[in-house]
Amino acid sequence: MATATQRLEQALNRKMIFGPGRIVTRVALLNTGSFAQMMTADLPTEKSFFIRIDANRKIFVHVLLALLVGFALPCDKAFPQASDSDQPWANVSGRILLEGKVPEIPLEKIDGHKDRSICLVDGKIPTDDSLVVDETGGLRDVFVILTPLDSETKIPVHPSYHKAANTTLELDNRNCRFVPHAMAVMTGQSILLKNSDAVGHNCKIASFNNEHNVNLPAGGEAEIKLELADRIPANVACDIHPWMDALILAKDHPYVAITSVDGSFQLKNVPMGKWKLQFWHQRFGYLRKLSVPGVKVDRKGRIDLDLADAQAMELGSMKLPVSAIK
Amino acid sequence: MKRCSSFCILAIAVLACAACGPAEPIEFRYNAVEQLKQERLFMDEGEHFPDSSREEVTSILKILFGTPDRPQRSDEAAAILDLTRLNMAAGPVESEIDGTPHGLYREHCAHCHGISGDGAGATAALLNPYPRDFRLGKFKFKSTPLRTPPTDRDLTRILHNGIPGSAMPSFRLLPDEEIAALVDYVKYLSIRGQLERTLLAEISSLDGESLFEIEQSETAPEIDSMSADEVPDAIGPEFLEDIVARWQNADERVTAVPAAPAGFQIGHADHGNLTSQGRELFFTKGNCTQCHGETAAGDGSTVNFDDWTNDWLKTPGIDPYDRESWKPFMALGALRPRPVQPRNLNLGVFRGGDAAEDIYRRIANGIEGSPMPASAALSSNEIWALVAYVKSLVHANDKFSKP
Repeated sequence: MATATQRLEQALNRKMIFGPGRIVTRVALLNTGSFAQMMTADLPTEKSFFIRIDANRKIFVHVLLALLVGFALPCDKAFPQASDSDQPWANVSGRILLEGKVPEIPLEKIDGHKDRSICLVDGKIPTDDSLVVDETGGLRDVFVILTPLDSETKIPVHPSYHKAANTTLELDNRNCRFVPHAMAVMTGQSILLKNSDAVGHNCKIASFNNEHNVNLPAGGEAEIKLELADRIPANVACDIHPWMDALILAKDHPYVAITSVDGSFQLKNVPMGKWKLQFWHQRFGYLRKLSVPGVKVDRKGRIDLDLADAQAMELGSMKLPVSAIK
Repeated sequence: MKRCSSFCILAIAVLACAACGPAEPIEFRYNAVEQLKQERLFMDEGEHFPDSSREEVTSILKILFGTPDRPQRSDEAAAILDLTRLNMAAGPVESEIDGTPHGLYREHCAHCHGISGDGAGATAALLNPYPRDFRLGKFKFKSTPLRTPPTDRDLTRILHNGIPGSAMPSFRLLPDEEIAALVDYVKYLSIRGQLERTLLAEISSLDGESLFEIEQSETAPEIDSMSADEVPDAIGPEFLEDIVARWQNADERVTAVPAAPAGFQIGHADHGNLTSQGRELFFTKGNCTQCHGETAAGDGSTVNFDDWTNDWLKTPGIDPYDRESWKPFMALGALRPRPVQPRNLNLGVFRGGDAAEDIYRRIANGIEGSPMPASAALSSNEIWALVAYVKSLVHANDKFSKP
């Protein structure tokens, strides 16, 4: 049987994904005997949680552990302030290659639609872009997501990103396609939805935590924000042209990379420390079948990322079998 | 001979009693469709949630919300749900000596909306549109924008007026307190359903681990012995709090309808210039013809499904035209996918109400759960012009039909 301390730590390490970017209070059910044991335990810092000492007496003790270990609580809204000088940062890069025979990519189902002429790209029906593979096997549009080991840890953000968070990103509707097909935003960051086509679209963005459905007449535009972080990207769809789709992932930090056309990605200025790196693709879900040399990939497509003192970490070529397509 | 026939009668009576006799206690139906969806989304083929997950979710919901016969309301929901009203709406159909009714939901609603508010009651499959499934917390006809629940006033209005063009009738003859009881019960089923979905999504993110912070062991009490105050803290109070908070603030998020511009006369078909301006917008900046068609007959384009269907169909990537692929979902209670049609605006049947401000809000906010988008680029006067045009269509139709 796990000791009370182990169980408490387990509780603290549990993932919380649906909370809207605030400090999540954690609850541990302990009996009185476990209390002293817990106080001496080597607990992670920066935690605040409630502990119920005795289930029957219903006594709630608010233990502000942060005070015990002399740390302030992380600020809720602003970025965790990292002092630039002594916080080293590293770049993480790699490349994802598809292995095996790539299935034939179907054409978009445009034929028969009244807007066909406008939806052609260079006079031709474009192919579906949910699976884009180059001749070397590079897989485009894999989301590479930095995640903390537990939900209470906020990832320190490099100063170079502070400005980026206030820039507006664009999602265009062009030839009845969303451009780009995949994008990452920070919560609260502005997204300009544009329609460069001569026909109307709507832009329906739906995820577990976010939802918009914006009318985009020919030449129209509108600005939106995704206020809450999501676990996997939101689907973007146009109801008028059902083949149109795109993905937007909102996170409360900027460390999400999307693989480019050759399957490569780079996360710049990642803070030192122990993190996880998660891989997700529209057609594969979590990339649990990804093989990363010398590293174990878990069921959620995550690897351990231990950034100690290296300035750059190159994960190299990672192979993904085609057979893992869902 | 006589003995024989009386024996027969007795036997028949006994059999009849056995058939309709003491029924199983009525339970809420588990959202197995959501579980299958989560499994399809996040697990390998053939992998399933452990049975314990289902038991855990069922236990948690039972403690927090009770049963269809005995509703519970945890402290978190006290501000928005009245337990007396819930008791009036819940349970079997009966009344007390003083005439206080019980079981209003089962009397008036459950045969279409289902005991659990899953929109899959006994008659559901025969209706078009399908009855609303409350468990997504999405409602079409309301005064609030997307992702904000309806206000009590919105739900009351639907019960008063019914929904023209659907099977939803008016319940205007019910006394106000019975309507209020049903409104609270709809919110109760909706919040319960939303929490169930949230917990199932959380389980899938935990790979089937227990939702409780610490595994059940000798040191912790059994789930079933916990009280309604203890469960939210044990699973993480934010799950329920976040859902309740959204319902609580709905009143503050009602979309204001600004005064109509000069020239707009409520109840008149001819709004002069406004109507022609609206017609122009209908074809251009309003982007209306794409779905409603140039004659507004709802023949613009495209086969689509609503969010209640897409939730299990599109999210896990099920092909709506491949019956085999959605059969497993139907076996668990999903209704056959049925495309939604853009409204034919010539008929004068407006499901969300035909008052000018109803149509204004449909255009300004879009219709939750449907493809109808919110007008992001139109000024309020432009929306009013569209309202004028839409209102004029019914009468334009009249002219055609006269010799």
